[in-house]
Amino acid sequence: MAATACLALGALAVRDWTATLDATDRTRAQTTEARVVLARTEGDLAAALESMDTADETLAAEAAALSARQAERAEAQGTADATRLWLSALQAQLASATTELEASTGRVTMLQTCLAGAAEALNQAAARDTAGAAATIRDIEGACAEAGVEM
Amino acid sequence: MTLGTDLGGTDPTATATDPTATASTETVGTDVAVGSAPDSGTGTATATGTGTGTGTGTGTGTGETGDTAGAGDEAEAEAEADGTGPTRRRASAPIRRTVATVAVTLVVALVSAGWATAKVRLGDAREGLAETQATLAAQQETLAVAERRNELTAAGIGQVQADIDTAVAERSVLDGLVASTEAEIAAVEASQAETATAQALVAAHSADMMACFAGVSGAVRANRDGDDGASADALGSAAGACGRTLAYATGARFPYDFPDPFVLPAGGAYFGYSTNSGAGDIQVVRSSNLTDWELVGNALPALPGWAEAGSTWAPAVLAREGGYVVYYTVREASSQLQCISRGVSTRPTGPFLDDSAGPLMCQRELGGSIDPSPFVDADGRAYLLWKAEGMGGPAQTIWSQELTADGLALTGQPHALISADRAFEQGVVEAPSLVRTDGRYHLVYAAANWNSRRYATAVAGCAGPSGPCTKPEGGRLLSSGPRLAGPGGVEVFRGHDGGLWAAFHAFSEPNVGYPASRYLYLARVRVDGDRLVIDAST
Repeated sequence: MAATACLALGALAVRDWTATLDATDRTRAQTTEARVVLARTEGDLAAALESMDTADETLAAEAAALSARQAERAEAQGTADATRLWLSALQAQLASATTELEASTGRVTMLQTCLAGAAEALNQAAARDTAGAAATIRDIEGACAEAGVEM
Repeated sequence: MTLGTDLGGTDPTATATDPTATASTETVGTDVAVGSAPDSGTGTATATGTGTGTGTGTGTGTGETGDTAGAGDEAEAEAEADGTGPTRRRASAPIRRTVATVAVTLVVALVSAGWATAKVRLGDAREGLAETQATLAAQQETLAVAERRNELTAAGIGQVQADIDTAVAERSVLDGLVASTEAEIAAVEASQAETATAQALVAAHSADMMACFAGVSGAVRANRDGDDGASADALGSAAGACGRTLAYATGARFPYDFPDPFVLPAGGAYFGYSTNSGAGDIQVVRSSNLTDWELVGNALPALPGWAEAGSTWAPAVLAREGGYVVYYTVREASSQLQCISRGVSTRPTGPFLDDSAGPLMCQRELGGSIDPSPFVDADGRAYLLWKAEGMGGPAQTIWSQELTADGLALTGQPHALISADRAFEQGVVEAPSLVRTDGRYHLVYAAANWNSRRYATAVAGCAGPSGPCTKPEGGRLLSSGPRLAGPGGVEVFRGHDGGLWAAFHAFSEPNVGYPASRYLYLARVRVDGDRLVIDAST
């Protein structure tokens, strides 16, 4: 009876032992598989970290470039603003000068009309045509007065 | 694995050999080989097992299978290995029991040890697995974080690049804006310069203007008083001021009579020469900037013996090594025809000495020769162009002939370049001026009556200084306008800035026709395609 019990016990022990060994084998296989995945993951991680470093460097470079471009843009904006300002000032000056010149030119035009008659009178006077010169002067008197010339 | 057991009596001394006996071993913890001999003889049985390992087991022969040890009985094992020569051994029951117990205990111990070891190893393996899995999970999490960060960084880079593109585009727009604004500024500044010039012109001659008006006013007052003589005197006293005022009002560069002008760039300055008038037979003026001119005086104090005073026209000066040669039109006393002579001087302002015994050129059969104009080609050879008067004979013609190196004589044969054959020319072609630009020769000339508003300036194209020349359709360069009348007598010259200029004379409206003055005007000359253009507003 005892022997049978022992035998049974032994069989159980052996079965459990066998099962343990199988479990151990499976666990080891899983471990091996997990280590393979781990190694692959570590490789991926290393690559990702390297990519990250590269990306960080790229980002830093691009950020620096952006800063430079934005500085250039700001400078261009400043130049444009200053240029427009300068243009505005010049346009104002030109408008003033043009107005002044137009006034002068207008007066010159009127004076030329007056002078045209005077020139004719001068020619007549040079030719000793005193009466003709006097007549011409009378004719231009109104025009000269309109031009602002006090006769 | 075969586990042989003999729970019955054991005879350690029994030997038996069972060739069919098999044994297997497995290395689990401790190697245990247990042989079985199902049918063993007596004595000691040695079982040889095959398996993954080898082992030698101590078998116990069983004398009688199934003869389990009876308690307190002395088991008798009888083993017959092969049925021949059986050996019987008897052992005492306690011993056999003890041995069995020990064996069982040993087996149990071994199994227990192996089992325990297996359990421990399983635990270790599981622990290792868990640790590996934990490490893997951590690494995967780190990887996920890194990948996410990479994605974000890539997105950030994309955004930064987009911002860069935006900044660059905006900068380009701004640059364009700046360029257009600068162009506007340049235009405004040019307008300002023109305005300032005009203002300066107006301001600079206000004194003349006031003097003119004072004279006119005096004349008007005298006229009112019925004193025509006083009126005429007042006008006469104001004549100069009025003339200058009128001249400057039209943009004249020199407010005195200065017909048929010729401008010579020399020594960093400019020297202008004209037909005889108030300052003498050949009037000379000088300028450093082509805008402000001062009167120098008369460049030809004496005429040669064969010439007659009073009709010295259209002078032109050629720089030669060691001095200057002036060519001019003068009346030949014997023929009363206008002919061409020359004089020399070491200075551009003269005085020029004409020691000739007769004209340099006088085509008497063609009514005489006038309007000389020198031209120096790219190869350094000099030519003289002029007009044959053609009075009462053949059509007026412009000629050219090569000059000697010193410029004092003509050499070779004269060549007819163009004749008056266009309606607008009204039978007159005169005042030639030849200019070379980019390998093209342009013959600028005047046409029609000089003493009228019809007088104009035209151009023909030539293959060289000796022709042939061709007149294009509509070849007029300058015509009368609202301010200037009869623009002609053009001489083209190259300024110190390398640009081409045209010096010409014109009446200032409304004073047209002799004895009214013909004033000096200057204008830029440019080439538009193969056409010559004079940028003058008449």
